[in-house]
Amino acid sequence: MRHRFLGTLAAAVAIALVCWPAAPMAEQQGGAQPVAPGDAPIPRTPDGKPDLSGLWAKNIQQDTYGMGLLAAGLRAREFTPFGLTLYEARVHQVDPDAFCWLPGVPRLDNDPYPLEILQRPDRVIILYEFNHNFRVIHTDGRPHPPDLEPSFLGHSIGRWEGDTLVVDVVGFNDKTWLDDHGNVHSDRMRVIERFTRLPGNRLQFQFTIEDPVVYAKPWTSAARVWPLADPSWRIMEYSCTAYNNVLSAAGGGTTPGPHSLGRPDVLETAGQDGPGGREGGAGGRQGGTPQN
Amino acid sequence: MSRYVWAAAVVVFALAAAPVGAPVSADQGQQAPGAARPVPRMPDGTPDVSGVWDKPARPNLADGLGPLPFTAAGRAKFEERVKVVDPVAYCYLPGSPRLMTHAGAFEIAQRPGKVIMMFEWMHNWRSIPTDGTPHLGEDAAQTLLGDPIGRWEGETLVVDTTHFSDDLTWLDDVGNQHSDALHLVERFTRVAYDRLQYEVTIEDPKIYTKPWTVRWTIPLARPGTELGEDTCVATVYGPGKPPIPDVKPGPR
Repeated sequence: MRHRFLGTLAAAVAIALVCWPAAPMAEQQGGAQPVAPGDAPIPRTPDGKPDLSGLWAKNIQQDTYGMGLLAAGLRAREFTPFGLTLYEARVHQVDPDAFCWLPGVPRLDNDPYPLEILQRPDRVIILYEFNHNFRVIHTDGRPHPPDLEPSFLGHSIGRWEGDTLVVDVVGFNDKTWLDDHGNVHSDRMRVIERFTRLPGNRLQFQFTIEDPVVYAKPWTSAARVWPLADPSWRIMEYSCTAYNNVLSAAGGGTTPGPHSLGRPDVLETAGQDGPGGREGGAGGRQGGTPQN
Repeated sequence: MSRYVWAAAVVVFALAAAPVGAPVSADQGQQAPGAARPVPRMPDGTPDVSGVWDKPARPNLADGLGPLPFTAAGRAKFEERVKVVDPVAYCYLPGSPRLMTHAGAFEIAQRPGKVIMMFEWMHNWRSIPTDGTPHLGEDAAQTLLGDPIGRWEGETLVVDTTHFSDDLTWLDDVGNQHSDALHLVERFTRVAYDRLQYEVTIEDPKIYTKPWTVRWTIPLARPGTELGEDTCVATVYGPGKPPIPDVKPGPR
């Protein structure tokens, strides 16, 4: 009796698999969440996962630790003794982003320039306009390599928890800030990011920092929701050193470097934005304006 | 008992034969040897050039071509290159096609309507629409990597790039030159599962009297290869400028 049931079930599964239609990779209705009237449904890939692909108009969050505390109803930042000295010392440092180094994770997610996601069955690619960066998030089940060399962006692996892509990032060096405020970290940091595509063409993003060297306990940022960019938007080039007059004048001033792409209307003095040089992206956008 | 075994065998066979409905290239070479596997395709039959590829070094893009057909201005610019600092020393983005001439891994990720290429050198990327998006308008600012758009011609991905700067990038490490009139045409053809044919045409009427074309083959990288990270640290910011200071991490 049991064998007959298993046989029938197995055959049914086999027939279903053979006959599964090859659906196009892009828009496919799915998901069981209630959807408000007029909200675009969550597109899914053929394996049923939400499709995060697209150009997302993300917004800036300058002090992610502070905003996270606010969102959680907490007040005091909780550092280890070393963490406190590291945090207080940052005001005497130049923002590492001013040197056009890779900005680190999650800082790439916290600055206002758009990001573009391309999702494949075994990996999720994120292109960042900010400082012209990319990350590859492996979703094929591979673990972190055992002998990771410290890097600016770490090593990212992702898995799906329901409709949320949970990304685990380790292997950092200590040369980056977490955000524009200067929230700090050590090379023992572990970042957990959560990307959830919502109905209505929105992407929810939130992250958790685990860094026992700096923080007395893990903390989580406030959740943010990014809209899908207008279809006329394109991810643009950002060549940090070519546009950065502060670097080329090494110490401030308005003198452009010997080679400069900057047009007079986009040149900046060192005093306006600090040494960050973030505003150098010449070329603007096709239609639309950045949303904050 | 035998009926159960038969059903299990059907399931195993079905799992092995079922179309997934997605590009096949999730693993690289875990099954048959690379050359024996068919070229993966998108659901609509378009070749899928996704994968991690291992570029050979080609410091002289024009290697093997003999004297290039210079204009007078082109020859002068080429000969003057020995007097200027290679712009990559300032960590300016290297430009295209120079990214393709450096040895090492690069990765392509493809979906319907979009091809993304990622490079180790300075952690670069190119985002290439293949959905009919046109070039940026004439008044758009110049860029270092150019503005690429792609289309499929049969089995070949043709990438057409314009909007280059005039003197912030070189074509390659030896200093072959271009101007802001550069119109770059690249052709990517996955001639086998594990081989990508790359052909590039340099058309730049300010520098060359006629276009010239070179072609080479790029093998698939070893399975499991991941792109390494490269951050450019410029130590020179113009002649006479001091190097950037080290970032002090604070007391330990």
